[in-house]
Order: sequence, then C-alpha cells, then structure tokens
Amino acid sequence: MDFRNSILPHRDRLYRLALSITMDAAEAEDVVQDTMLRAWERRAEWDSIDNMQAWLMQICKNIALDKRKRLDRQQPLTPDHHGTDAPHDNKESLDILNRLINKLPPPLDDLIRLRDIEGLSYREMAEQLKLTEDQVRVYLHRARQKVKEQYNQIQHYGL
Amino acid sequence: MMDYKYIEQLIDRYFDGETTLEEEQILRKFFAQEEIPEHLRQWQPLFLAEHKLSEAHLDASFDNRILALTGEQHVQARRISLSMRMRPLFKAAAFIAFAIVFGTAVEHAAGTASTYPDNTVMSEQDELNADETTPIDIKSAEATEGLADTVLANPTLTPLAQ
Repeated sequence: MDFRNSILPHRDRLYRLALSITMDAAEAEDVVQDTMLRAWERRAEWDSIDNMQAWLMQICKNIALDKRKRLDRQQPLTPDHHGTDAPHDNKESLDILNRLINKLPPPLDDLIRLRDIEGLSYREMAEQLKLTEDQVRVYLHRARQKVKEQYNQIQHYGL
Repeated sequence: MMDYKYIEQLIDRYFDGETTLEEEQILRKFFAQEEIPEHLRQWQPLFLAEHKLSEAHLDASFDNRILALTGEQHVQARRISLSMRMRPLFKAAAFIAFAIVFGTAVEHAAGTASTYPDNTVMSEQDELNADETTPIDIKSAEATEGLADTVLANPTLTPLAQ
C-alpha cells in the first residue's frame, strides 16, 4: 500500500467534502492537503484500515469543521449581517443552508453530502457509514426534513 | 404559464427521501436554469450548490505539491529551454568549423611537404622528415585547435550562430 495509489486517488472526493463545509476553494484545498499529510503521518495504520475512503473522509471532515468554525468566528452570521433578518440573495441562502447541514448530527450530515454531492446510492452510503439501507432511508429523510424546516424558519422569521 | 407540478412533486419527494438519483439529477438541472419561478426560488441555492459541488475537483499541481511533501515525488520531466535544445546543434556546428579549419591546415601542410626540389615521390622516411620539418604548419594546426576550443566553449561564435 503506498501513498500514490492508496491515498491520492481520494483527493477529489475529499476536496468536495471540504468545499461543502468551508465553502471556500482555497481553504478546501488546504484541508485536503492537511488531511493527506495527517494520513501520511499515520501510514503505520493503513494495513489495519478496512475502508480507506471512510477513514480519510472522517479526518477531512474534522479538519474542515475546525476550519469552518474559525471562519465563522471571523465572519459571524448574525441577523444584522446584511441589515435584515431574512436572507435575500443566493449567496447568503447558500451560506445558511451550508451551515444548517454542518450543524446536523452525524450521520445525518454525512448522508446529505454523500447523496447530494457524491451521488452515492443507498447501498453505497450504507457500506461507507456502516448502516443498513433502511437506516439510510430513514436518516436521509430525517436529515432533509430538518434542513427544510430550519431553512423555512429562517426564510419566514429570519435568524 | 408553464406547469411546474412535476418539479413541485419531485421537491416534496426529495425532502421525504423518496427520490431516485436520476430524479435528483433532474432537480439539479432544473435549478441550474436562469429563470426559476418565484415560489420555487427559495430552493435554488441548495440544488445549485449540489450541482456545482458535484463537479468540483483538484488539478495536477495539487498532486505534485502533496507528493513532494510526502517525499513520493517521481522525477519530473525537466523543462528544456530553447538554448538547451539548440546545444547539440551548436556543438555539431563547432565540430564542422573545426574540421574545416583543421582540414585546410592539413591540406596546406601537405601542399608544403610536396614541394620537394626534385618533385619525386616521397619515401616513408621523407614523409616522417617532412612532418618533423614543418614547424610553421604545426603552429598553424595548433592555432586551429585553439580556435576550435574557443568555438566549442562559445557556441555563439560559430558561423551558424552568427
């Protein structure tokens, strides 16, 4: 097992995950680099990992969420962020949706990303997250409903 | 006015977790259009973001950087400049110039050696003597070699480079 063949091929999937959390291309690239360097430092563990992609995505997600928190502290999203309580442009709506997904508890957040960004089937999601397909259906439904409810609330009542 | 009932049903089924991958793709394509009816516009950022994110990827410069950082970088093809590419040509030109000058010098030496008084064919001993007794031509040959060295060291001095 070597870096070039076992780790590097996951770069684009890691990048999309990082980008969906940070919503910033440069930050996302840094996250993928940090993820791969961390994986490289832990190369002694590679042989004992049964799902390399899931392992890498977990590392990537943690690093990206830390980065997102730092970004949020620098640019807090408050009701008076744009002088009004309700989001009124696509970029702001996207930012809010992204934060709502980031706040979902695992594995709800992972399910939304794996399905809606990576286009994985229920079976593939079940394998990656070690769930049954029925659980995937139930959790995905719950995840999307939560996003919809919270997003509707913000749309109607503001933050 | 267009009927958006199908799209509205798909959105409802999407949030209920009942859509197939193909149906979700239809939603993303629909929301990638510029003209979205007012009552559906609120969901555009979600599907548009999914559409854009699903196509995002890193390029080869990332690979080179991360492979260098992990010490797994393979030897990369060297970038060769125009002057580097032309170097063999300069060397060949220098060699030809050297050969011409040296050849002329040897020809000149041979011409001098053949001017024996009796104009007879030289014996082997005569040839050796002739070689030993032509200091001017030897100097000429040395000078030629010196010129060739200069030319080799400075390809820009070759006739081709001029």
